[in-house]
Amino acid sequence: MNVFQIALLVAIATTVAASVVLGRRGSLPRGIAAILVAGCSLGAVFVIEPDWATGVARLLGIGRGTDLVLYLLVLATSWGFLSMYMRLRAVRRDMTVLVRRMALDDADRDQRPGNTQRIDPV
Amino acid sequence: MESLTALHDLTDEQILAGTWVVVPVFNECTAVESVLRELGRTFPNVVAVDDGSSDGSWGVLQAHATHALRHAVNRGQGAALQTGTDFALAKGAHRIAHFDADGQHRVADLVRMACAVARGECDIALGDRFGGGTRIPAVRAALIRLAAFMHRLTSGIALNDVHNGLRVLSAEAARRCELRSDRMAHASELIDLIARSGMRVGQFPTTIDYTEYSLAKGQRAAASARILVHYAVGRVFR
Repeated sequence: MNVFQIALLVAIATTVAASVVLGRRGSLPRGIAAILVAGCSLGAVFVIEPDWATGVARLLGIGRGTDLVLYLLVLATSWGFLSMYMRLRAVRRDMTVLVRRMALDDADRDQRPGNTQRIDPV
Repeated sequence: MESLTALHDLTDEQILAGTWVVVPVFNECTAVESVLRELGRTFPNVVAVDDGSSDGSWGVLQAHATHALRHAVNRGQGAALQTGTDFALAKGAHRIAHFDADGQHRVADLVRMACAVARGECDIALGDRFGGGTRIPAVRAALIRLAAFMHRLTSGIALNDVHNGLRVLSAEAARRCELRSDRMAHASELIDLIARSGMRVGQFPTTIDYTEYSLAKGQRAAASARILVHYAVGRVFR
């Protein structure tokens, strides 16, 4: 096992540990924690036994193990970006609702006298 | 029949009093004061919504608007319009008008549009800069035409000018067209909502005053280009 493999395994182990702890605490949704742990475990297997990736790739008709890993990486990052984007959108929308609500509440509180209307508006 | 006759007998004063003008403001402290003064001379109810400005606009609004509302942080023009609309409807507005804060619109145009909605000629009056005597920068005109064409394809609504900030909506129309998109895409969103609302739309020639200020402020042609992008993105992720 070379230095790179060891460094990668340490990084993967850290991510797994963090996912488990955050998942238990509830700071990370359980489903996402499980996906992270599963993905990292698969990564660890491929780091330790690179030939297995090639084996799985052949089974799937992809050919090279590196291609298989690349495809998985593209899928994972796309999913990650998309879910972050959707989350951000939801947060932005909630923020707009809050800011608008606050503005209306403040307006009611600061209601100034005056502006009495003589005319019946239609 | 009687109510119809009554509608035609409305005095201009009644119409102006029932039309609440919503002015969304974001960092417009140099222009907004004269806009508010001029609107205030004609319309008794002007709701200025400061959309989280950082340039002292808020002080100007407090001093010169009949009603001044403030977003704690910037949420976009669509959000500001909706806040002002909610406020005005809660106060019993009969019509909601949209008026830009940079001085590009004319109060006389707004009065004509408010009268048309009040007299039942249409439920929603939209400003049309191509019908007035406006000299429109060529790039901007092309972009607006393109946006109008896209709306025609997707919403089936045929409008000349889809990004004119001057509008008047009846209270019912304003309730049906609730803006949800926060950034620049609100103009497109509103057109879609109008198309779906089934309300009667009228287009009114209006003059846009492209002052040095409004042009300088704006990279507005760039803004229109951005609107097109937002429009496309909005279709995918709405």
